[in-house]
Amino acid sequence: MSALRAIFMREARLAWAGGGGAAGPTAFFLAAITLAPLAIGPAADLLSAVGPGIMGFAALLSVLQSADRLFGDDHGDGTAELYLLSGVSPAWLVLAKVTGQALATLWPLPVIGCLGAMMYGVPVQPALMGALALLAAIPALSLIAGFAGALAAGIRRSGLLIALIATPMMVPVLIFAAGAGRSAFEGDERALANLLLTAAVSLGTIALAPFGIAAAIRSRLG
Amino acid sequence: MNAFLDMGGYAAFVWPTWGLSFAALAGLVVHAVLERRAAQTALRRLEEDEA
Amino acid sequence: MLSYFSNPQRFDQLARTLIPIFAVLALGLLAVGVYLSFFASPPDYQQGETIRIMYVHVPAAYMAMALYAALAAASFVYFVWRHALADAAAEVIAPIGAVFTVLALFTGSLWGKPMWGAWWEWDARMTSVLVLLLVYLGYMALRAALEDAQQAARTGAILAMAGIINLVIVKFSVDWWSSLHQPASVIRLDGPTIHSSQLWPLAIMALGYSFLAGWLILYRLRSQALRRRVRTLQRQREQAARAREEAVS
Repeated sequence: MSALRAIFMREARLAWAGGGGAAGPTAFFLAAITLAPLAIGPAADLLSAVGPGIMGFAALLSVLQSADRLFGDDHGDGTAELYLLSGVSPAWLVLAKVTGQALATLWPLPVIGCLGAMMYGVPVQPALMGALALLAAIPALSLIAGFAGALAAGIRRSGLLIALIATPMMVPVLIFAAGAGRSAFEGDERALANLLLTAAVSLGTIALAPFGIAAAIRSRLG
Repeated sequence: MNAFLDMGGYAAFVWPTWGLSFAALAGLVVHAVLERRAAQTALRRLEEDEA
Repeated sequence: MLSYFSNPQRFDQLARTLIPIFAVLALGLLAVGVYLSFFASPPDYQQGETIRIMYVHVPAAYMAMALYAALAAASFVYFVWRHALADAAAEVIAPIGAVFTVLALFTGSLWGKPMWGAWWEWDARMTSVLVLLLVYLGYMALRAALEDAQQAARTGAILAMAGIINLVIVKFSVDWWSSLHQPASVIRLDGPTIHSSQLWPLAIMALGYSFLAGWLILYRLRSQALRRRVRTLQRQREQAARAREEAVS
């Protein structure tokens, strides 16, 4: 257990201090939601209608943006071999690793999601619902990004490949998380159902993805 | 005959669909045959070098 | 059965007998299918002559999904039993499946324009097929990016298996997503039940497509074996040349 805590702390500290922490995803998220209205046009009713969806979409992209770092660095310097030799269950190990990185880098996403939605003219209550759904989506998003990152670890220009692999896997969680904000905005009673489905996808991903990531790391060492 | 080609006014949708489908199927077959020939030539060249 | 085919020569012999049989069956069925589709089936009472698009669209969509199932099954066999043939099959199936997926999308679009009045409709089916195409492309891109053949095989197998779990959830989520916004009622593709005069051309065309895909897979598997032998020979040659150089210096 203490080994897991050590890995968790190492990841969090590395991401916090070495990788610029939350700055990368935050900056990307901000840039994306700044550009979207410039492309769509300033019409207030249009922006408030697309606001919850854009927040989910931009959050997804900002998770992908840093996905090549988590397992790519380990693959290059031999840390991955050491992890597998450490005797700690690999599935628990990668779960600790991804959680450490996600907590250190992705915590601003719900905050920006909420503020951004309000800047698009979405009322407070649906904006909060969207932020809550983003929070519930983070485990699924970061684990899927981790899975794609582990498969493509160390490949030159892996970012593009990771995006291509992760995109179809992120479809369900995007639908439910963005759907929560959208339904709340439209006064649809299915907002809560969407939120629960987001949480369900995250839980399912927590149960399955660590095994997939561990298998992916092992397959790239053979 | 003209009525047949006209497809009840939907000729612009029916014929391209069938044309596209058979072009794709033929493309797959041609690609498979060319791929096999290329592999055979490469193998023959290597084996001739050996001899 | 698996261990039976672990002998490559035995598989090659079987493929050699099956390939001409599949070729004849595919050509025959497609010829009969074309005849039935155009001459022996009436226009639909609702969709008119556009129903003839269905006879190539539905088989393409069915092959797109069936081939992904085959890809995942082959990947599972490779992952568990490490059968080289299963990996070769997975590698060969993926691009064929991707072509059928593209074909399903384009023919669906050509059917959608006269039926819905739009080239593209974000309905649950077309969206899932689009996601399926992305899954195929991701699989092929990953394999292409990995130079080491064994790494490509193992990593690809893991991705293909994860893909099938994902596609099931995608299907559910996309159905849910499109039900949030019920579009104005139009003629749905799955609308009226299929009349038996339409079922025959559809079934024969689908069978023809299946045998053609089977032919392609077997044929390309034999080429694959040749290519793998070329690669081993080349590697041996390079190693021999390097050894000679080292001996000289």
